[in-house]
Amino acid sequence: MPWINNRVFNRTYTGYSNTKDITMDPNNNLWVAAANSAAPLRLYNPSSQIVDFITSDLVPYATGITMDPEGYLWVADPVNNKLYKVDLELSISDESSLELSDFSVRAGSNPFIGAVTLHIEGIESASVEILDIYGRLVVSGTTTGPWMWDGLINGTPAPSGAYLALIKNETGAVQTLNLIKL
Amino acid sequence: MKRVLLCLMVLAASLSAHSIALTLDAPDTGISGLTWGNDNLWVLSANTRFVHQVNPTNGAVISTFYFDYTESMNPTGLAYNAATNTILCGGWLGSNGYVYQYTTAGSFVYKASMCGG
Repeated sequence: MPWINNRVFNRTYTGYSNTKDITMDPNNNLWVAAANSAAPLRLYNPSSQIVDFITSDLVPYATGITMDPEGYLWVADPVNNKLYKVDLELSISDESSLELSDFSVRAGSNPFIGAVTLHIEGIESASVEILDIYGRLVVSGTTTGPWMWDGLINGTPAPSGAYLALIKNETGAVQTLNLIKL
Repeated sequence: MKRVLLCLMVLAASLSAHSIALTLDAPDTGISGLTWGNDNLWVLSANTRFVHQVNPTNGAVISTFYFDYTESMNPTGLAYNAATNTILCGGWLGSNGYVYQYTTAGSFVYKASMCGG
């Protein structure tokens, strides 16, 4: 084979099993396209920890991804038949758009011991996903108001550490919340 | 506690917002593969099996070729090899995966088996 010799590197990413495409950024981090998740684009560092993500209210669906020389992330959305050029830098307009979210989420206590209640206001219904530091979905559910995570993963107390809550309302808008379990 | 703080810092870094700089109509349906090469986007349709070279500023299709080798495999990913100025198309058939190399003009060059998918 003139252009494929062998596998020169192997890295296991534990974060997601529905990977559609990957691309590296200049810092050797790996963007993963994850179809129609609440976070369809996830960035993993070389230690397999999720260090950034893009929620589905910005990019609804992601299959093919690539990065151009200027550092823009390009994403193919086959559901809406669109190609998105994503600016990964935070801009002033981004800051203002963050304030325009149409619902709010706060944790009853954070950091928390045992269980935590997410107080979600301004929704008719919402889906909730809890991801661990590796981007693995550990708990999910739906709610029309406050939503409680009992701090368990498959019936076993979740390890202490950081978790990410992704809350998507009935219109597809997404809010995120960092949770720390002590 | 140090580990918790480290995790908190990692997640805090994830709070940066991003924005859509440009949205283009896809040149085809069911785009599964996307890559950057020769200052253009290249997209692969899993539905029609066409590979399109697309102007990234306006979405105009510059060229198109048909990704078709002998098998009826399912197109997946796409990559560009700058060293050889060729397009690499991924596909699978049954339990086997393959990578097909094409020139940017759409001429088939080579096929590599990925040893099982």
